[in-house]
Amino acid sequence: MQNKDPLAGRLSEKSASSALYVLCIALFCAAVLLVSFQFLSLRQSFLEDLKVQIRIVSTNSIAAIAFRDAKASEEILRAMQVSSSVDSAAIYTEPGMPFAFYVRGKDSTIAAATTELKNAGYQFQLRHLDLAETVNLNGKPIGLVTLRASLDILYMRLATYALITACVFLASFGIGYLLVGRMRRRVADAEAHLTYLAHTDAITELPNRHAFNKILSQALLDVRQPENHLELILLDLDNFKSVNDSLGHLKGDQLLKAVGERLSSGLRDTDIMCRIGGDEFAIIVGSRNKQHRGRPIAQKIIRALAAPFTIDDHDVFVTASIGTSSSADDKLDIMALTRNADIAMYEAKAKGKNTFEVFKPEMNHLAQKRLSIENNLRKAIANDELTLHYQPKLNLHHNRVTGFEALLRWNSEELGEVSPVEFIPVAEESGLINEIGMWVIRKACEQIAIWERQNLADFKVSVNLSPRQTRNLLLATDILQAMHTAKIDPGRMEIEITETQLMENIDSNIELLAQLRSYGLRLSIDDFGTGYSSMAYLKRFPINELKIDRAFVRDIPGSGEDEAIITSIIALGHGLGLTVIAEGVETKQQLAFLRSVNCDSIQGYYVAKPMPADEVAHFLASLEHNQ
Amino acid sequence: MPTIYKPVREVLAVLVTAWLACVAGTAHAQHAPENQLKAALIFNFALFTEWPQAYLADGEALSVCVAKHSLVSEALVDLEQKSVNGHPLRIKFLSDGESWQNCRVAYLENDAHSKLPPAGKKFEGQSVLTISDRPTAVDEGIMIAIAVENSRFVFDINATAARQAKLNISSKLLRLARKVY
Repeated sequence: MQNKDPLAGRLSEKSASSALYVLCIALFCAAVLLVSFQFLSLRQSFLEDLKVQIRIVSTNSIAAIAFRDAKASEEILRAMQVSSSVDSAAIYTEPGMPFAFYVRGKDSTIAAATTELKNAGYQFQLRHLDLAETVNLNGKPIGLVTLRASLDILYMRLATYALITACVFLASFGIGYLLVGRMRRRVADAEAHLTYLAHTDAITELPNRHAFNKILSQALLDVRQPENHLELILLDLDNFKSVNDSLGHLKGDQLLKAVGERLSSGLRDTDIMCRIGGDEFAIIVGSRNKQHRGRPIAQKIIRALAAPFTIDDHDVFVTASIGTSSSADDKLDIMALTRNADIAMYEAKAKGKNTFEVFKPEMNHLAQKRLSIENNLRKAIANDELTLHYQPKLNLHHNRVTGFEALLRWNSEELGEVSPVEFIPVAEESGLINEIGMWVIRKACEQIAIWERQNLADFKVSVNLSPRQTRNLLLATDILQAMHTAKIDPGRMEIEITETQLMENIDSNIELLAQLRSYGLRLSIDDFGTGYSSMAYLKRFPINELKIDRAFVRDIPGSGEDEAIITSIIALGHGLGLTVIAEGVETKQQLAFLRSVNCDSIQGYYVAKPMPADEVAHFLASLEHNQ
Repeated sequence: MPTIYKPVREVLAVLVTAWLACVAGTAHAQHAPENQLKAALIFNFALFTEWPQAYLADGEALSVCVAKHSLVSEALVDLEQKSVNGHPLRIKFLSDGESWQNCRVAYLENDAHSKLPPAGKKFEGQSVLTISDRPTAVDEGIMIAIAVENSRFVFDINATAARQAKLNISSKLLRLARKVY
């Protein structure tokens, strides 16, 4: 999965070979300089050596010249035998023929007593060094000694020196080559590591967002053929934040890693999975021959995530909302492809999470609608567009209303009546839910106070908490504060929290519930039966009531399965000392069944639709009247 | 640049000798080249000899004494303009009985010399370079004896006598001598 950057490694290659060139040139220059310097110094010492010799000869031969003693002169010259570089030597008393001479071998030649040589003292030729020294006696020149030395020895020495230098050069280059090689490897390693770091998410070791953008744009370039296209799958873990909050970042990271491993193990080698955000993953899928692989992969992911992840002996459940988009729809544009997948993913989230959506063009409208909902929702509280409606809960044992559930209604100035199903997820995503949630609590408290003044005090009012709200550590004290402000008894309030929400973040929710319970509030688990409650946890939650999800109530009586589930939940609730309420009760038959299985309370259209607060008094009165 | 082989060298040696004779003879070839050569030798001997400072101060004239009417007298006159290592030459032709004191070089010609035995005694205690052309002169205490061998002049040196006379004869000269005593 490692993204290969075409530029990676090129820099190190370049710098290493240029380092070698520089080393080579530097060594070569050094060698040439050394040899040249050596040549000059050898030549100089050679010259000085011979100057000494010619001086000795000329000094020694003064008398012989003075006495014109050729024999003695030659004897003196013959002493040059010991000086192996001297080829020949001659004494001239006048230019032309030498007066006496010495030659080493047959091929040796004598240096002529030219004026230039006499004036210069010495002359280097290609093979020889000629020297001349005037012999003076009694203040007058009486002759000239010339000497010719072969440069062979000089060249020999120079060659030896050059050879040694070349050896040193080669050895140095060898060492340098090894060092550069090592340096090159290190630089290449470091570059590869940097590239890896720049393109890889450290936790999951998947390509990161930066790499994702590169890979996706490259992949889009590669699928220009009309029968091929790309599909992009965006995946957001629904409850990762709460896992992170409850287990800590370290375990959150472990979970991300495990999710990455599990999901990528189900992919083809050509599919590329990236982690592009905190709990967001992207999968780039190449599809050939107009096949659509996005949907089956999304289904596969949902199935793969169904099994819990074991993080340090905790079984952690995660679900994902998945959106897919296809390059076939979007004219090969990376921005459009990503945006579409994102829209589809939000659609999936809005649908209740743990599901997937394939992008359809009409989703753009939904996305725009969601945007306008969000924009309008921001001013809903200030514009007083929100209201609470109350739906009664009927106690079947006493046949009277023991509570009302406060339900939010929004009549937008711009959008008209907006269903909570539409705007609550938007509020949840945008974070507006905290503000709205608190508004609901304060409003409910105020309403309780109003009813109390009307002598309507023998029922509880329940309020729903959203997942995002429950992550607020100050929620319990905020609620207490609201009740205190409204001067109502905490015993009048009931909190409903969904089972799924509760299970997402068990430890911190237990803490919250215990805190609320200690203030005297009643606690109810909403939508019970849809989450994956562990019985062990259920026992630990400080709750008072289970609310059976409307999905189970809808098909009773008649659906044996649902009847069995309801019966079991009631048995379980009663077994744990909890009351059980069923919601969504719309028919007499449903009521009859629930009564038969000893359900404690019901809520639903059969009793009453949610109603504005000012209708409650009338409703209660009419109910009493009917009885 | 001439390349010289052994046969050529021999020819050269002959030529050199001939040339030497020519050089010596340029002055008075018509008279006696032998005496010219002897005069040149005497001059050269002086060149390679050092006198003690006490006997020959810097710049002081160097007296070369020879008996009147010697064979070399004429040749020696030509040397009068020359100087030896900064000492102008003075040639003194001495009559019989004339003092040889103040001479620094004494040339005792074979005939003249025979009349003055023993030559060595004569200059005892003096720093006088004694030269003679009698081949056996060194045996008689003369410092340098000129002889002819294979038609070339050669010389023997009595270094002991020279040392006794506190004269320093250059080793360069010594090595040219046929014999050194």
